[in-house]
Amino acid sequence: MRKVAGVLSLLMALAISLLAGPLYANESQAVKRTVAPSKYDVTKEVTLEGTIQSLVRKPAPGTIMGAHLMVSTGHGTVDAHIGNYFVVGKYAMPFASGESVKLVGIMATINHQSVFLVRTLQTGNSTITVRSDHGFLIYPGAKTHLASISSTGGAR
Amino acid sequence: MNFKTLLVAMAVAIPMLITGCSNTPKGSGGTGTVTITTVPPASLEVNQSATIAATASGGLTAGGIDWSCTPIGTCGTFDPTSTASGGTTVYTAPRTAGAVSIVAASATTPTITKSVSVNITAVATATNITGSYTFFANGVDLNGVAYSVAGSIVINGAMGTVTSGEQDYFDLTSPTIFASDPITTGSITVGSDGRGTLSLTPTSAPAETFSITVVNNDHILITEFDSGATASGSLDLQTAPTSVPTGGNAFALLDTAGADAFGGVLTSNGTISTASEADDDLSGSPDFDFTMAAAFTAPDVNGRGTITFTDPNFGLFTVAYYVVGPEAFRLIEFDGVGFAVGSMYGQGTGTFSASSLSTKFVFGESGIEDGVSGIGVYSAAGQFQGNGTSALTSGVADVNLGDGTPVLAGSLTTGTTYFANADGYAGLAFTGATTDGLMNFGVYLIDPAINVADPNNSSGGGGAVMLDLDTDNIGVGIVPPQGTSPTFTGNFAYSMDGVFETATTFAYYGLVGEVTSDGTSKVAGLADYNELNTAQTPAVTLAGTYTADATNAGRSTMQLTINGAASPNNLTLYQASSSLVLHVDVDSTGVGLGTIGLGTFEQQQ
Repeated sequence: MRKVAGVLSLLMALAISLLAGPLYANESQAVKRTVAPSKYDVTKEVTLEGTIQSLVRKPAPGTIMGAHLMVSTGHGTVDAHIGNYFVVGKYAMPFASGESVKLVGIMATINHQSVFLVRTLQTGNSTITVRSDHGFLIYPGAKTHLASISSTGGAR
Repeated sequence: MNFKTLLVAMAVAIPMLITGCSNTPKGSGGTGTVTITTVPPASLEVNQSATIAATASGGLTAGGIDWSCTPIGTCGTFDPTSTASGGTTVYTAPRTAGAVSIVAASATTPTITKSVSVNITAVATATNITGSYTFFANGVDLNGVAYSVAGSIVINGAMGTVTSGEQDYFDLTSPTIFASDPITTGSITVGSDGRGTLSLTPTSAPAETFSITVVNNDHILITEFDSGATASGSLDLQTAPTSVPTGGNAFALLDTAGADAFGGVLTSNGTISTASEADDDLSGSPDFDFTMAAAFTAPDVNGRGTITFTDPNFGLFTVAYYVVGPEAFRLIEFDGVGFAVGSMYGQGTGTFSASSLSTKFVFGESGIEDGVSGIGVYSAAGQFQGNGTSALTSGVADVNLGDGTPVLAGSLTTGTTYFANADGYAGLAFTGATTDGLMNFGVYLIDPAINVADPNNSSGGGGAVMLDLDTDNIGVGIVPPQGTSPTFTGNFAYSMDGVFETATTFAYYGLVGEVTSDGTSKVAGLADYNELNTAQTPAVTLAGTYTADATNAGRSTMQLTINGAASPNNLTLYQASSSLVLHVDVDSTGVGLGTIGLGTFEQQQ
């Protein structure tokens, strides 16, 4: 059924495109649309491995909003920000104390406090995407397109 | 009657005969009369003021006048409460409608008085809020995840009831998206100052309670006022429920959960788009000027139809639209692919060009940001004017990324370019140096006859909807035109929502209420304040002082104290017209990370 729905969606998209008639995209005047380099720099990502100490649903004031994981690593406890989408709702995960995790992300300083911004989180055999490559928290069910994000962005 | 009794009777009767019936001294002080020489208008709207004066004659002159009114406690105030004979005082009407008697009394002989009646009129009544209305509210739920609702309802204002309706609703804490959900019952109340409550009971989704403030009978600001969510939007008279977007349309959608934004212009034949130019920002990857196809279904009896967009960079997604009027639609995604919400406006029959942005405009936008820039949400507001070709002749903006260092009146002119195509697809490109990194605005021009903030309002039309299309910020907003020499006087509906963070606490919040501006430096009023996770507090006090920016006409700064808080919120105001002011909160590190907030003042009419 899922397959059928997928095919139907594809056909619908095709039909809409065909029916769309004459189009006048790209007629804008020559205005340079410069896209700044992302402050979230994937080239500076590091991987941390450790065990979950605790899940902090309501973090201390002054820290970045959303849920944090306190993770014990070989270099001490790391405050890892994961946002709320894997803590409440359809995609909530248990995040049990003592559970092993592998985190990929970058260290950042928000309001004079260090925080590890998690982009992907691996527990057991599953890896979840917490952030986009540009550092935005993303709701897991809504991002099936992420793998095929357009390459048309950038300087024009 | 003996002689002694006769003397007593004469002692009482003679003074009465001398001074007449109403202003006769009855035993103490001097003699004379009190006359109200500058009378208030026969009727006065709630919270409004009038300058009045009275004189005292004869032996009463030196003592002057004491002012009072009835019914005591609910009849208004005087500033000052005592005046010299002939001096003026400012009477301010109460917040509730009804008959009031203003009394000028001799300070020397308080029993000598003169009264005048004033009818205090309401700015709105529930009875006048009757018919089909379209509403939307966007925000976050108790767990800080995306929450939105949009729909249409039938209101019987005289009865104070909502008799039917339909809505689309998502709350990411819930696994269920409630699409096309019938609304079975509800209620509405409206006070004399336009503040009130709207409660809705859908068939499947949880019940919603909104605090509301009436701007006019066709346009009402709303904010969710329950412990489930804080979400802000509006309730607008639905004038043509059978309308499908046709002709030229501008649209802007933001999905805070998926971190995506979509916007542009499209031409519709009522079934499909026949032309378009669009932008998107997919989690920090903006795409500019591509073709986005759309297919429409006709609205149902409640004015709900659907639009399926095909974004070549994203794929297919479907939103419900709820008709406000032939050229205004509220959009909410219900397919679970994403959670986009926004608006679509008609563009009229004319064409656009770079000169379309050569007059003055203000803008206000809010959205999400990457984890590095700040606490996760941001807002900005500003004003600008194009030179008719490609540069801005003036412009400043206030930007608050929630990093503790908001930009105040950052210049928008240096290095900025803009364009506007014949179809209304436009954009502004900044260097980012004075806008905290904001660099690309997608601007989608609307019908000059449509008011982007109040779609049923026949004045204040034009402008645009907009997107912020950046790698670190993704936002949505409006761009109303800016009038010449607007005033800021009278009763205004006030809204604001966002998040605040201090050294000890933080919360998402929303508030809606009513303030009165004196036109020079002060506002005061009441609002219902939903501080999610903490409390829903009705009727908190708002007291603000504002100062015009001498360098940038149209921009003002305001210190607004909410509920008597020790630290006021620092707002920057950008005035579009005498009816509309956009404001952005620009608190600094003085109160933790401060407040991120965006909202409007909209004059009650």
